[in-house]
Amino acid sequence: MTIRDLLAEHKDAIIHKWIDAMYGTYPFDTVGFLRSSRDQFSNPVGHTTAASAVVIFDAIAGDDVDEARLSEAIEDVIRIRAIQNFSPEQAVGVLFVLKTVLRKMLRAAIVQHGLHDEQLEVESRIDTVALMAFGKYAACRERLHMMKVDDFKRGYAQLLRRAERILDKPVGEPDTQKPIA
Amino acid sequence: MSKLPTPDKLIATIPAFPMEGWMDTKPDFKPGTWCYPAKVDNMKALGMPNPHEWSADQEDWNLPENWEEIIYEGLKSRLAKHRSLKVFMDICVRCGACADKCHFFIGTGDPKNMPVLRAELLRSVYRRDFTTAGKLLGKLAGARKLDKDVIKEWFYYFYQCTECRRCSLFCPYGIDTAEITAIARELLHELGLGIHWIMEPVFNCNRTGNHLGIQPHAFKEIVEFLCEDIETVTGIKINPPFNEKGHEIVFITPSGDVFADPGIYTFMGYLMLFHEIGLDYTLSTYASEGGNFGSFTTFDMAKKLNAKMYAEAERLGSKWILGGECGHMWRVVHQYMDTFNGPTPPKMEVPRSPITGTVFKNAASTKMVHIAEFTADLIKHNKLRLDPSRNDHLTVTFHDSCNPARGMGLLDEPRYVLQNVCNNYVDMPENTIREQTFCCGGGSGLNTDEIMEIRMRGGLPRGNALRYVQQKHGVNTMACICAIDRATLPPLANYWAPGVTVYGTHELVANALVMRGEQKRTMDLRQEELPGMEDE
Ligand code: SF4
Ligand code: SF4
Repeated sequence: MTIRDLLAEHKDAIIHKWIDAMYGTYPFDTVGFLRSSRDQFSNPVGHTTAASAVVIFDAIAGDDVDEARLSEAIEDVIRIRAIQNFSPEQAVGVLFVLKTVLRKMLRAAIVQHGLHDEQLEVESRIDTVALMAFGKYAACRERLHMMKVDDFKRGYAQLLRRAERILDKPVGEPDTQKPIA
Repeated sequence: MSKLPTPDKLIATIPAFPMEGWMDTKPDFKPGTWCYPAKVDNMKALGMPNPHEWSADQEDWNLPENWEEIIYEGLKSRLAKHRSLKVFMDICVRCGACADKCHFFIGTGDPKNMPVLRAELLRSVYRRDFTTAGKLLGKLAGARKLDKDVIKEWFYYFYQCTECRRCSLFCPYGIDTAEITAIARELLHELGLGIHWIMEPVFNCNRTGNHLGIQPHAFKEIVEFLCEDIETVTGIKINPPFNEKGHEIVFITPSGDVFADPGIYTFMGYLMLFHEIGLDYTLSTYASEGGNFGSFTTFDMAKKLNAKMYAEAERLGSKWILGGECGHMWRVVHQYMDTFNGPTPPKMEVPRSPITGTVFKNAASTKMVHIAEFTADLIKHNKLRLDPSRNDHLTVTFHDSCNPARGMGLLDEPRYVLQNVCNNYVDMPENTIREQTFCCGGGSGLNTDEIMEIRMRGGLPRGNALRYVQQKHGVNTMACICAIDRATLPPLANYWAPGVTVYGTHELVANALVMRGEQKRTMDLRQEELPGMEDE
């Protein structure tokens, strides 16, 4: 018995619990909708969370991962949580909850089969995923700020162009230095 | 000293909204979730009631002393004036059909963004003061006392509704939450509460005719820059007429098309099309704005700002008005203009395309035609020479703007145009387009950058559908027929589906348009090289 076998055996139940925990970070009245509405376009948050959870679970369970696919799955969830009403900890922290779920569900079997070392390896992989999520969160927030700047530039594009023609130099460049008296 | 919380505890600290009952929870005015207040000077200049300094993140909003009376009287008079409001207040059976249809609910997960609860924010106050059951039973009958927190909550949630009307499509009674929002915003205005992003354009429009407050000479100069760009791309020099009397048509479009990227390319597209078909038209520096932020303020302001369209058509002696690609402008034209500003000046006529002879009977009363209809008619009658292969590097999808789609049923014309000027066209999934289209997240005056986060939440369902077609069909272009979309969709695409570029429909038309006497096109209107058409 390896931890891989254990994870394979309990895969559906673990993912289910973890997804529920992630849904649980939304207001109570919203959870039912996230859980029950199946259409990926009517319920993009629920759908994306569930779809990404499966990919992430597979990545932490096995050794071989399709890194591009994993990266995309993490990004899909984090991109949503990064702009919702969450603190940074709440946005990224859902990944650590997977540890809690695993510990709760597999504790007895891990003790019984002496799989503690393997458990630590799995948990390290969760840490890796969480670090990747942290990077993605930061990138999302950065992009959000850049978007504000770009919004302004686009909105005033032709006025800036006109100003540049009148001033005969790019807007934002300092005026020619006056000689110091 | 204390113990560090576990990750589970850390993420569990979200507000326990539902446990407390929705009436008792208060919105949290975090930065990024609320729009900046309107300038007092602008509000004074516009004659808005009770102008004063305030800010949403402050405890005290400095409401006028008799604020309760103002709201009571304001609601009373609106109930009398708009029979629809009274009906909407009374007939909701709380069936929940609308609940999960709002892009803000889907994107925020906040139950108060369910349209039924949004309306309930106003309805609960209505019940207390205007229904017998509410007066007698209070909370039991879903009624609640008006206090200052209710006003704050109105501000928070009625500025998290883009008046897109998606919810009303699913309501068995046709309750239109957009109209409830519009009236709730009017009531907030009675207390001197408005937002800068809406009131500054209103102020500018009121003075110079357009949102940025650009004066006629600057307006003309900027259009001339765009004509220089057209010449660079096509070798053709266009001199559009300004404010000239005696032309058959006056053309009015949102000023965003003249001043902002990427709207300018759409504007260049209009000018090229008009030149090619030899349209007898004039631009106007007075009616230099088709958009109407008054319609996000009060019905009276919408009426005032819209009046310039007919006034200018009359002054210039034009027979009818051709309108550019815009969303809310068309909601106003299609649904309110007749009542606001009609009847039309006596010399105006039912629009008839001078090129095809088609009479636009649908515009018989407003005398104003949407350019997507006009161009679709030109193509249908084979009046344009088109080379869609110039757009072959683009795989195009179309975003139905809420207003033209749900507000006037303009669903097929833009698609027909796009499919004739582009060889690669794919629609997004059916429950996200046409009447069921998802909002860009920034309509109704919410396209301001201080709430970029809220916009991204509201834009999530649209972004999600866009990303789907990007991944599945390689879509790299989203076309639209709305100036607000041209401002809101670039960041939406940038965040939810990076790699997709936003185009106005007439930009793509002009790229494909084969013009008499043009030089070999090697660039598109953005002066980017056309793949496969480079100079030999
Ligand atoms: S009108 Fe649009 S934004 Fe407003 S509640 Fe309805 S669906 Fe939501
Ligand atoms: S669908 Fe109509 S009747 Fe049903 S809850 Fe929504 S507004 Fe009320």
